[in-house]
Amino acid sequence: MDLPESMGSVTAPSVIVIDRVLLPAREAGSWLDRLRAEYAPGACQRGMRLADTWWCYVDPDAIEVTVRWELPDVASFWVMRHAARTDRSLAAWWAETDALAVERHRTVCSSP
Amino acid sequence: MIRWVVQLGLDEATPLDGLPGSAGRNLRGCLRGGDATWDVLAPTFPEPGIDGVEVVDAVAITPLAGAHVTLAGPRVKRTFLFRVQPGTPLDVQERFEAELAAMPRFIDAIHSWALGRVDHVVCPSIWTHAWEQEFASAADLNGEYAMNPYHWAGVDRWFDAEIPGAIVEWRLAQWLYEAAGPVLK
Repeated sequence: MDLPESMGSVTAPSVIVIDRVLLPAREAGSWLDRLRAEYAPGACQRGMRLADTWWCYVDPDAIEVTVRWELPDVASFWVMRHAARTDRSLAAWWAETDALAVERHRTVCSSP
Repeated sequence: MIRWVVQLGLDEATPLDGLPGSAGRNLRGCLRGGDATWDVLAPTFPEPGIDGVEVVDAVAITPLAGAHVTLAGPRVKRTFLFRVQPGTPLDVQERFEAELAAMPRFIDAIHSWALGRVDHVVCPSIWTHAWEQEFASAADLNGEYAMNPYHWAGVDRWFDAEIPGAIVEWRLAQWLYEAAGPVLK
């Protein structure tokens, strides 16, 4: 897999984490409420800032929620990863989400 | 001959000079290791045969991919061990292995390297894979290796349990020591 040359940089860009969760339309609002109330506080402690949330109807019965998290630098990303690896409650959170979701993606992105 | 990476428990100040292969006391940053790491080729389970030195863990490695890159002088030898989830489809595992083995293309700080599967027939282990590298210094491991986006925004997704499609279990091991010369040849 080839990446653009700029991806080989050793600079310390901010890190963006994007969650995209496709949910039954009737579940989207309550899931987002739970994300803010249950997941976001722990994520914040791990260094992730909840930057934005959006949603869109992909059909009359399904909504895709997009959540953008920010971390200040790559070192913060690894601190977050270490904290998440040892937090057993996260598996339960995502299992509950996956029980509702039609589809889910998370991508980790750097600034070019 | 089988390639082994061995964790040793040592009595205080026990010299390792008599061991065949390459050995050294573990550096700061080791995880789930003993007091020292020993890289050795041996037909059967390696025994150090030195008073005050005992084996506390060992993996036998079946190589998948690797390269020797010339590097003069001492180097930091890293062995990173992990377990792929049982039941992972082979084609998915092979895609993961190929992406991991591509890291040296993007990260110049990796000199010689090897990716292998842990041979459970030769020696039972909780680990399934050994990802080994040689670095000019520990600063390269914590610097360019950790900070390169191919690492954290690429292959790390296979390790991140928050990402659908991750296949590596959360428990990891990292064994680090300073080797006097080439280990991965």
